[in-house]
Amino acid sequence: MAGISGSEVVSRNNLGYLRNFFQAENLVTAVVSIFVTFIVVTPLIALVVGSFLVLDDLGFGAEWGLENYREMFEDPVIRRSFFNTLFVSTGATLLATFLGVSLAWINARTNCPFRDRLEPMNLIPFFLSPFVGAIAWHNLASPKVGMLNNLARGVFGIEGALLNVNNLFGIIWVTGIFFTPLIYLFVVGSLRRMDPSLEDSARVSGAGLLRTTLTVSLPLVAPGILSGAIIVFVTSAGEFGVPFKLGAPYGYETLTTQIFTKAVSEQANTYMGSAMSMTLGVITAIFIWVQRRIIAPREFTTVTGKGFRPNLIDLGRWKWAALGYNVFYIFVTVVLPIFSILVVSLHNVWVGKIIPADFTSLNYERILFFWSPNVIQPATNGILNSFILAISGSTIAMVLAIILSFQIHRRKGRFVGLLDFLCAVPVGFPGIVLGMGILIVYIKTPIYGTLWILLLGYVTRFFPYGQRNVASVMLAVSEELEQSSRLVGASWATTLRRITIPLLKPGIFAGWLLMFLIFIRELSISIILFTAGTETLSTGIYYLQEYETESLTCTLSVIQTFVLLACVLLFRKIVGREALVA
Amino acid sequence: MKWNLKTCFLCIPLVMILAAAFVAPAFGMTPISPQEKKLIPLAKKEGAVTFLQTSFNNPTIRRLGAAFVKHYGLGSGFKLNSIQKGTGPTVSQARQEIRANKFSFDAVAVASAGFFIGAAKAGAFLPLDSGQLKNHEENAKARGIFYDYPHFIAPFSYTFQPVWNSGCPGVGDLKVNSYSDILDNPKLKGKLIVSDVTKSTSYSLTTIGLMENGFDVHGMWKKMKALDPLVGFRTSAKLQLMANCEGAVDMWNITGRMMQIIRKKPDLAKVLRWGTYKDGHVLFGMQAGVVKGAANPNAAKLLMDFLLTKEAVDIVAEEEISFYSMLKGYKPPASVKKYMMDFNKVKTLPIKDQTAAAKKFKKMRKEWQKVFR
Repeated sequence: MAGISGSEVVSRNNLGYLRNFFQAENLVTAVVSIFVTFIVVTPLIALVVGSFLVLDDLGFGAEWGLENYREMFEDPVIRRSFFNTLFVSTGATLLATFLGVSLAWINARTNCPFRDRLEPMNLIPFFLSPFVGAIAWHNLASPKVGMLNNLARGVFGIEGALLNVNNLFGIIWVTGIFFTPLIYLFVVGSLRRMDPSLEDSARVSGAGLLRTTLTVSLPLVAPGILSGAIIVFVTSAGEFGVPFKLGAPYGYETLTTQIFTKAVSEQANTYMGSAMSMTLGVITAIFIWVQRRIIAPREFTTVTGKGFRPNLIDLGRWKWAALGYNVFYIFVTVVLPIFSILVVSLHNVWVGKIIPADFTSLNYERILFFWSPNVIQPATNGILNSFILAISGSTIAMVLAIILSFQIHRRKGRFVGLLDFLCAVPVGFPGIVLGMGILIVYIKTPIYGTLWILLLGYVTRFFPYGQRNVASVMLAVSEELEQSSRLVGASWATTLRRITIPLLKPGIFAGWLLMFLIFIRELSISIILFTAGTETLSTGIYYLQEYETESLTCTLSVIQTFVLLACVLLFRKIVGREALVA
Repeated sequence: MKWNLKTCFLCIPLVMILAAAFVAPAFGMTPISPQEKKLIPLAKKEGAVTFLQTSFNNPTIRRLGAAFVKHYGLGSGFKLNSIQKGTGPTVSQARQEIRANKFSFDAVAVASAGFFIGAAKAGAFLPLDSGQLKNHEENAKARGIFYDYPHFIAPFSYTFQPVWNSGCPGVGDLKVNSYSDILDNPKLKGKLIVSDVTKSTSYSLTTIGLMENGFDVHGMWKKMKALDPLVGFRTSAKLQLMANCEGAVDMWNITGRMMQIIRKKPDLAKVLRWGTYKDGHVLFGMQAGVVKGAANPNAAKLLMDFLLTKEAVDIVAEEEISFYSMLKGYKPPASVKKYMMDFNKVKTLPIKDQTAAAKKFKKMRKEWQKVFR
């Protein structure tokens, strides 16, 4: 270094640092990290700030104050909606946990017949819309006109109503059965990878099947169950469509329906909505924190990753009961609801009973024949817009997911913890809450009233799903391959394109597909952000439910359901059986 | 003035316009006012108008759009876009867009005097220069329909009527001519649908109107509650509940919505019934205005005038039935006349002060919640 002064060394170092920083790899990851931080943090800040603004009587001015919080605690309906939310979330979690764990156990650990064929069907409810599930179950089990109640009255002569889903228990039932696959997915992998020697020891020591299952098998997968249960609890608390259909019209409000009422009532009191969103946000944040900090780390200590194949338990004659139980689950979550909405959709006006003479395809023409003057625009728009949003949204979210996963798990660095945290935040916040924040932030920008604001909402809320998928594969792939590529002179972009992405393909595809299906049925964000021309499939169903007939509502519900089922089947065909199984 | 060939040629268009002005009414066509004439070329240039509104379904909007284009000769490329929402969501969207000064619509129409008063105070509306309003002023004044020209007008008005499904068990012989026919009828236990005032401006306005006119609303609520009612919200959704007998009697609905269902399933005409309350009806205006910042302000102003013409009023009467115009000397088409109320025979209950009424909503809704929630 002779002949170079100290200041020159410093300036060369600075230059080198700058040159280094402006490399594509640094630039891209920095820009993406800043972008993600911005889109996640700003709506939440807007909600916090908004919650302290109090709208005036005429609804056009606001001043700072705690009035929203005071009103929130004093209003008996909001107070009750808070307790209803806790009740519904707890009930749905218990139901989903019971069903999810038992189905996972049957499929992973027993000799139940046809279990290979049943497994993908057990997951179907996860890809269908709970809102449509609620519409379907309303038509099946309304006390006076539900098809099952009519059947019970007609066949068994039962007086009154056998079933009633128009209450909190109905919300628990529909939410629980539709979120069962979440628990199933969390548990079934652990059950399959479980070390069989532990169970064998129990059996050798004289424990029976039931005792072994309850005292050895289930405790071993308890962290998985708890993680799944927390996700179900949080998702149920943020669910909007089911309580909107089965609860609110019958006096059973939840926080989401009340937030919607406050924010989209004639006062347009987004500030009050923000204050209520804070409550829901805090509940979900606590549960997510517990899951990430306390429960998730335990999963790696209770279940080993040695790739055991546990022995299958012979259920004897009970295997047919297990099969019946599993088939019954598929029947009540998939077959019955689809049957109900299909039947209603075939009537021009649904009068509470099946009248074959009234069957018509007119409703389908009014929704699908976009060239017809009788077409219902919000429904037709919804179909096209949902496809646009699903394809573009899941692609953009996956690009973000790949770069973020690369930043978090490969490059690491000082902001990795923050980025990892930001990837968890949108999962914890209910869609309706995030939607409100996004509305407040972007209403004055040119993207308001366009599909872009919905796209931004979808990406902000759901990119973590993609990130988790990519990260799980990335963690399983050694860094050496990428390092070798860089050592032989390949640029970051080339390495990413030729090494990393091909290796991550299964995770990328699974993440893309998951988001595509979620976007096709998304309601909570869309209901807050849509305007004329930017309707989605779910807001189209909402529109028909509010301003048209039950038959038309069911018609679009059938279309959405078949689109989702067709996509699941198509992707399974393209990718093979391993797609969409646990 | 010297008469020659040139002046004669110049006179021809003038004579034609004058002739059209005299002849048009004879053919039932509303003459186009000078104000509207000024707006026509500007509206043509804008090529579209987006109307945020609560009341007109798809078929009505389609017919209104075609008639609007034809009436003013706006050309086949001109488009009337409609965003239909409930009263709450309409006011909500309008309010938040006004606050953000960012609009996805040009004109808004909703029965919410409180919102219009507040928005006008905030300077949210473009002043109108209507050529048609003069034909409505007399009747509007007589029936207490509220508007604040030039900020906003009230092209239509409506009121809620009792409707029921006589095909549902236990209501075959029901006749409703007064509130007591429902409230003092124990046979209707478990069959009644009442309206959720906390989610709707028009239900709230009706309730305040009844209170202002001396009705014991709290007593009525207690009687309603004793009948173990379903609490419904949207008129269409409540009609669906009624069509399939989840609830048999809806105290407040719109007969036009009922007719729309009957048109889809004609045999329902045998069982769906409606009545009027001899106690009186709260008739309120559906206010409408053009927002400052609208992308198509001239087309929107022209639309406001069009809604006041006989052409538009006829279409609304035929399609929606129960939205009433205050057009002087107006006679509804014979095909729908029997389904419409005759306000010369029905008692209307006025709301004296719309601003004060809007301010009473909050308290009244809390009291309602205590009874029903």
